[in-house]
Order: sequence, then C-alpha cells, then structure tokens
Amino acid sequence: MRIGIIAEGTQDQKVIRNILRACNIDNSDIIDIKPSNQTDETDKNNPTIGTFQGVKNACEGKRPNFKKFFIFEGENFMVIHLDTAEIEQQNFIFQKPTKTNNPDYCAKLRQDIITLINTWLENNYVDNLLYAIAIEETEAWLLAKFENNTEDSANPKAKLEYKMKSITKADIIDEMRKMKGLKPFLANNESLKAFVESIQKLNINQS
Amino acid sequence: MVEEINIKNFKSIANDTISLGRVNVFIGENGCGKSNILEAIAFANALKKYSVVDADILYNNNIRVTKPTLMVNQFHEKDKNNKKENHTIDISLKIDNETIYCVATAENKNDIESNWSKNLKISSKNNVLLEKLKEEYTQTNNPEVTKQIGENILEIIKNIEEEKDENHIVTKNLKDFAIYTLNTQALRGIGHFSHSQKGLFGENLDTMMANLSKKETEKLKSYSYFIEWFEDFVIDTKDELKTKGYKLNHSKSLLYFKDKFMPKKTLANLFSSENANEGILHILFYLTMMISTKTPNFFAIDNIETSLNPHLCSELMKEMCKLAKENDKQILITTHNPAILDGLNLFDDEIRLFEVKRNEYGHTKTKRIKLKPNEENSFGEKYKLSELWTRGFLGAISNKF
Repeated sequence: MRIGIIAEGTQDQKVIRNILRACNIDNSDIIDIKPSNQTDETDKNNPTIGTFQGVKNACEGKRPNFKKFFIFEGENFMVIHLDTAEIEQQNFIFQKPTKTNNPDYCAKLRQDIITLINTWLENNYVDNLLYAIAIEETEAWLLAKFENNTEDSANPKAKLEYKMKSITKADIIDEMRKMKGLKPFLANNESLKAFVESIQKLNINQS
Repeated sequence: MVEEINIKNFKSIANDTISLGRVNVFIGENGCGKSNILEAIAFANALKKYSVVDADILYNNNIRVTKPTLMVNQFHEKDKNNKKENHTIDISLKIDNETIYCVATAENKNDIESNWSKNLKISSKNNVLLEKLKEEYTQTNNPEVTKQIGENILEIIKNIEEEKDENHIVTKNLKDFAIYTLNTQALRGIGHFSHSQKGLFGENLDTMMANLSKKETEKLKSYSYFIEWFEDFVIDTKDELKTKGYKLNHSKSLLYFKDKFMPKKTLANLFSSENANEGILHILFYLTMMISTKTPNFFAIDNIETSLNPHLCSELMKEMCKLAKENDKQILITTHNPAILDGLNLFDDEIRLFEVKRNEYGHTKTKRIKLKPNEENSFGEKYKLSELWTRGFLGAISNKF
C-alpha cells in the first residue's frame, strides 16, 4: 500500500503522516506529494505551491500529481488536505452552512468541501481518496489536546499558541503518532475523528 | 537464474523475500539496506563455497564484517511481532525450481573474527522424490515392487550425489557471485587493493579486457560512442610503454587509450589509464563484465552511477539490459542516480525495479515497483521514471526533509 499526501503546507503533511501512522500505516508507505518535493531552491518562493490554491491547482486541470501517483500498480490512496478557514476568501463562490445552533455544521461543511474537491477532480479517483478536511484549520486538530469541540474555535491558531506553554507544536504532532496518544484528540474534534474513521475503513492490517 | 531470495535475520533484514528478474535495480534512501541484500547473497555464496567461513572470507567477498551480534538483525526490541533475540542467519535462494537453504551461526557471537558454523540443504526435485519413494518402499509388501522401488531409490541417491558436483545448477549459479564496488584508483591500477584476486574494486580491468575474445573486443568497441574523445584502447601486455615514458611507475594497469582529437602520428594521442577520465574506466568495466564469457553470470554492482553523467547512466543501463539477455547474465544493481531508471523498461518482466526501505521497526523491506499497463496510465502523457523518483512519487527518498 502507498498513501500520498497533498496538503496546504508541510506542517499539515507532518500532522497527517502521524495520524496515518497511528492508524497502522507504515511510515515508509506514506509519500509526501505536495507541497514537499515539488520545488527546488530556485523555485521555493512560488506563492501558489504551499497554499489552499496550491491544493486546488493540484486537483484541477491535467492533474499531473494524481497521474504520476496512480501510475503504479498496487493499492494506492491519496490524502487531500484542506483547511476551511479561508475558503470564503478564495476566488470562487462557496457558501459555508450556518454555524449558529447547527449541530450538523461540522459534518455538513466537511461534506460540502469533499463535494467541492470531487468537482475539481471531475469525480476522478474518488474510490482512492481520503479527505483530511480540517474545520477551520489543522491547528484545531492540535488544539484538541487541550479542549473540547475545537472545530467551533474561532481562531484555533492563536488559541493553540496561547495554550502551548512548555511544549511545542512538534511535541503535540509527535503525540499523534500512536493511536493511544491520538485517541484523546479524537474526542475533541469532529473533523479529525471523521478523517481517522475514513482511514480505519481501509481495513489496514500491516505486519 | 536465481528466481527468489529469502533473507532472514541478516543485518537490517529481519525477513524479506525478493523475486528477482534478470536485471534488478534497487533504490532507496541512504542506509535503507540495499547493500545488505547484496551482502546476504555473498554470505550465502561463501557458506556454499568455503569449508570454513571466517571474517577474512567474508571481508574478501566485500561483506562488511561486524561483531556476529550485529551481523544478525538487532531491531527485535522494537518489533512487537518478534521480540526474541536470534543468532542464526537463514538465507535461501531458489534457482531454476531448486532451493538452497543456508543457515549459519557464529561460533563465538562476541568475536568479530569468529568462524561461522553452517548447515546447507538443497531441496531439489530429487530430494522430494526420494522422500516419496522411501514412503512407498515401507508401505509395499510386493517383493517385485519393493525391488523396483529400491533400484529407483539408489538411482535418485546417485543423482543427489551428483547435485553436489560443480556442475549442479545451484553451484553453477552461485559460485562466482561477487559484489563489485568500483574505485577509480583501482581501475587505474594505482594503490593496493586486498581483494585483487577477484577485482572487486575494478583493479583487474586491464586483465579482463585482455581476456576478451576478438568478437567480444569488437562488441566492446562498438560502444565507443559513449565517450566523445575515444578512438581506441590498447592493452600493453608486455608492459613496454612504461619504459617509453607513457606512464609514471605508479600504475600497474596495462590499459592505454587513444584520443581521436589528438595528433595520431608517432602515438602522440596515446595515454595511460592513469590519465583517462573516470567515466570511461567505469563504463569499460561494466561493459566488459556484461560482454565477457569469463566474467561471472551472476553478480552485483554497488552504486553503479559513480562518475557517470546522467544521460550516460540511462544509455549504459539500457545497453546493459540488452547485454544481460544476449549473454545470459543476471545482475543486481544499487543506485542513487534517477537517470539509471530511465534506461529500464519496466514493462519487460525481466527488468525489475525495487524500492528498499526501512519500516517502523527499522527492518529493511523490499517492494517491487510495477507500472500499470500502458493503456491504464497513459492519459496521453508520459513521465520519466527519473522525474517520478526525484519528485517523490516513487518513494525511495527520505521523508525527513
């Protein structure tokens, strides 16, 4: 099995890699596709590579990242990561569901983003995709170490900075590497839990 | 041909099975265990070939010798599936449907110079048949049938005895296996190399070339287009050119070159291998290995890309694949140069590419990289394997940076 990761940023890739490892996927079977490995030092400041737009670009058009990844025989899956925080500021129309008094806000928004991604992909590869949709941003997943319902947090990045005292982001990401460490996070963030459940459905049993 | 290798408990390899083709290229990040795979085969070969296997024998077969406790896999502590310490190395090779099992244990596990006690078993069709006949023999009451089975058993035992002979398929395939790790100084005939008998560093290049038949030499020269300046080579078997001032007294090599851009009169374009560029020496070595009938049929090259331009790597690899088929050679190659991959046709089952990696427990694992059939993956576009590797799609790179 090979699992590729297309994410907004390299830190998001690290978080997703550790979540996959916690779900019994061997580290050596996980491949960073984007933004890692796609540029050289000459091109490293290209502004569209490590962003929401970068993920959108990868899913649209000729989709070389997907073609190159799925060219190989065997079980191949691609994780697509997106943060929802800035989706309404992108250069396309997207209406988030109502948040106030809406218990389904998180699930609905997640599903809408999945539909959006599949539209970009023209419904190609759908059976081989895993959607790492972080409601607000991946920091909300990390914030789940400290508090409940972090998908509702207005500014998880700032909150996380505030909560982290003696530990670093890297320490928190490292905690997520094993299921024992990841479990407490799952109870506190619905979109993270949904992502983990989608991985577990792959029924991975690696020796 | 060696069809399959199973390596258990050798260095970083806890348990790995590799189905080999004719040309086998291994890629993976530094320290993933590529060379350990080659060494495992050399280790099995040493067990088969020598009555006593010690550190010197291993060293002379290009095996990096450590304390026996480190020659076996030491990653068991973190492996939840296999926590038991084990001091036995177990390597089996399947060759033309027969399998040789090589089991070895160090006599003193704390002594780096320890001898290795061994147990070899060949499981051939004859062994299986013998077991079956023995069972029939004990179950039959008819004297005539018993007599016939007895005669058959004797015949089979005779055949098994012959299997131990030099001509047996297992012996023939394994006996000359060697790991070549070229060194430019050795190729130039400079310096002292302890493996000189086998030429594992390339120190016997001139001798190998001198031993080529006329036809083989012509074949070798047909690749002169690889190096722009190359016109011809000369093997000065009597070592006379040295006294005429064509080389300093440092090199033992009898190999000289002619440059097509230099004046040809009075051998003004002749110079020794001491002065030749590194690339041509490496190329000549690999091509000679592939062309000569006197070189091993089964061998390994560690880091083939050394000193070679990327474009040349691809072309060399393509030609080596062709030569392997023409001259019935089987090769194992490790490389860190993506351009080598562009010389491989992965739709040819005889040409195989493997990703070597360390799993969560540190164990070396090998996975064959296969492409989906053309019609499924073309999408009207083609991608070079080298590009797929450098951009990370193939794996076989570090995920730490």
